[in-house]
Formats: sequence, structure tokens, C-alpha cells
Amino acid sequence: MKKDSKISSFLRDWLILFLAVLVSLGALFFANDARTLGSIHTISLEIIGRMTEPLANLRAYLALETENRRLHEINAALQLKNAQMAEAWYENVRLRQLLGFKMTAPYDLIAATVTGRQQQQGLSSLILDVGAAQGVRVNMTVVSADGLVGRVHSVSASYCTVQAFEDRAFSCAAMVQRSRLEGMFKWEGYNRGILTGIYLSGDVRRGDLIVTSGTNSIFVPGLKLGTVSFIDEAESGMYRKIYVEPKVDLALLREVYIIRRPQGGAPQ
Amino acid sequence: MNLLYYLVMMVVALGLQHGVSDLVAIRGVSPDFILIAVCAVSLFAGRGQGTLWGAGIGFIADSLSGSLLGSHALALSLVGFISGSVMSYRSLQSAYSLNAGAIVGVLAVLQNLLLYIINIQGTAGALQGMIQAVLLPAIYTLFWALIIFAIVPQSIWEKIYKTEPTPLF
Repeated sequence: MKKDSKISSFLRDWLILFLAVLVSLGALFFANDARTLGSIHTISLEIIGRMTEPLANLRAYLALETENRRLHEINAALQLKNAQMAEAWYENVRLRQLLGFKMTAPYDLIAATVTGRQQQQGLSSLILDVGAAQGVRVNMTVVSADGLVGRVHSVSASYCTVQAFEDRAFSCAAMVQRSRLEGMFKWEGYNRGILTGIYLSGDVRRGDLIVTSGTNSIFVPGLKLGTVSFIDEAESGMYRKIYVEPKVDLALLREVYIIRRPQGGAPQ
Repeated sequence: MNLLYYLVMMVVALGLQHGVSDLVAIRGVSPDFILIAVCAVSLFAGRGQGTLWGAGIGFIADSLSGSLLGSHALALSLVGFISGSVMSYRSLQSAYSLNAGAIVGVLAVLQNLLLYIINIQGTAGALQGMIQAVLLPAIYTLFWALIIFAIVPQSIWEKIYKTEPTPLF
């Protein structure tokens, strides 16, 4: 009797494993289309978003003093910069009028707070406290004051997840701001990204700013990605290996902005 | 009803993974609390329930992490089955907790390797990627598993273990 129950328990466990593997493989092969994912994401995002929000609030409260000090420093630096930029702005307006260029419309931004982060097995994502109700859609660009953060990956009514630039599956068209050379930015790990597709003869220097080029349809051009920290000259082949130190520190990120569309322009 | 304890373990693991793991991350490498929770549930509930919990939490993790739906579910159901097969409640008693930690480490390598192959293979720097996305997180998860197994008082493990098991079917 006892032996029979042991055998049935053994068979039951293997049957469960078989079914679990079958369902997982089924999901992998047949459920990764946008429609199926949409409903699953919506439900789980709402649950986890509500779970992580109190934690995020607690963390924000604990970090208030440090943040306040940092903001004071930034404020002082920005006031100086603002004065310089006001000068540059008027000069720019005058020159544009002379050249007959249209003024580029500023972007319509949705402010959001980071309520959760996940970083494992090379995947990196954030949960934000805004969703479809605030006009967030999949593939919208997410930025912070320091530069590009990532793209919206999935959206529920009040939350959304963001595929951050530190995700190994993330890539975007980028360029060297000074020389306008274009390449592809990818995350390599060890706190650095890599810019590929730049010829050995390309004009790139250490300290050059890397920005999005806007040649793919998701990201708007000119968003800061990072600065060139090292150029691997020893790399064989036609291309240079350019390492990029990111501008945005995801671990410190609290407030981000989602670019909805240029004001007066078509939706992104 | 020990089902409630397992549910609490999973909810806490999800909360830690999404709310705390980045705070303890070292150079982008963070521990996998969900894997530790699946291993712990398998110890108490056996490999059958461990597999089911692994698959369930895996689907939730998939929908939150941006990975392919089914990848975490597949990896964690295997983790639940294997950990329930090779470990028992005795593994959590202090004299054996090092063994339990080591098995969690090995299972973390297995899980990360599977996820790496499914989700991010083919990206730049394959070898460095394997180290960064597979080995280092597994070692760090092992470290955290040892800490968790050591700091949770034996009385709590006893309480969960002695609670009347919930029949699977």
C-alpha cells in the first residue's frame, strides 16, 4: 500500500514537471505576441506596481536629506548654466531667423516616479507609476535630466515597465555628437556600454559625448547616452571598439520623464 | 495551512526582487530572491509543489522583467523540481545549510544559463555576458541564500515544516 502511494507520488511529480515544461514552452513559442502579452502584463503590472509603491515611497523618504543637498548643488550649477544658455538661446533665435529655419518644437513630457527596479541575468527594467490613463504607450522614450533611460516595454492602466539601457537586449542608433559619426549603442555590462559600427579611421576621442542619432523610429535624436571612456585600438577588423560610460545612474534614479510627442506634433 | 506560508514567501520574494535587489546590487549584479524562495518552498512542499510554484512565480517574473513569456517559468519549474529532488527540510538545519546554499548556487547557474540562452544570446561580448549574466549573479545569489538560511530562526522553519501539508490534488 505504502509502496503504491510512493509510486503514484513519483509519477505525479514527473507529470507536474512535464506539464509545467509543456506550458512554459507553449508560452515561449505561441504566447509572445503583443496581444496575449498585453493582457498578462496589465494584470501582473497592476499587482506588483501596488506592492512596490509603498517601498518606493519609504526609500524616497529615507533619501530626502541626501537628495536635498544634491539638488542644492545642482541648482547652483544650473543657475550659472542657465545664464549662459539664455545668451546662447538669443543668439540661436537670431541666427535661425537669419537662416529661415523652423524652430524645433519642445517635447510634451509625462513625469513619472520609479517604483520598482529589476536587474538580473543581464535584463534591466524599471516600473513607473504612470500608465495608459496618463497617455503612456509602448515604445515611448523614457529620459531623465541626465539623458536616455530606456523605452516603455509594457503598459497597464496605472503603471508601465521600462526596458532600461542597461538591458543586454537593448540597443539604439547613436552617434558621436562632435564628429556626427553614427553607430549602434549596446550595453556590455560592468557599468559600460559599447558603440559599434565606427570605422577604424573614424574621428572619436576619449571624452566625446555619445547621443541618440534618431535614425531608428523609437528614440528622438540628441538624447545623451554617455561619454567615451576607452577606445580599443588593438581590436582587429574594420571597426573600433568604443566603450561608453553612461550618463544616467539607474540605481539613483527617482524621477523620469516619458516623451509623449513633440508639442503640436504627431503622437510618437 | 502551509499554502499561506508559501504564498507569503513568494510575495516577499517578488517585493524584494523589485524593490530592494537593486539596492544590494554590486556593479549591476543582483541576487535572485525569487529563486531562493522557490528552492525554500521545494524543501518544505516537495518537488511537485515546488515545480508548480516555480512555474507560477516564473510567469509573473516574465511579465514584469521584459523577458520572453515562459522563460522564467521554464527555468524556475526546473529549479523547483531539482531542488525538491536533491534537498529536504533537513538541508535547512544549521549543520546542512552550507549544502543548501551550494545547491542554490548550482541551480542559479542552471537557471541563469537557460535564461541567457533564451533571452539574450547573440548579443555583443558573449563570454563576458556569460560571466556577467550567469556566473556572477549565481555566486551572489548563493551568498544571499546562505545569509537568509542562516538568519531565519530555526523555529520559523520548524513552524512552516510542522504545519499540516496541503494536499496537491
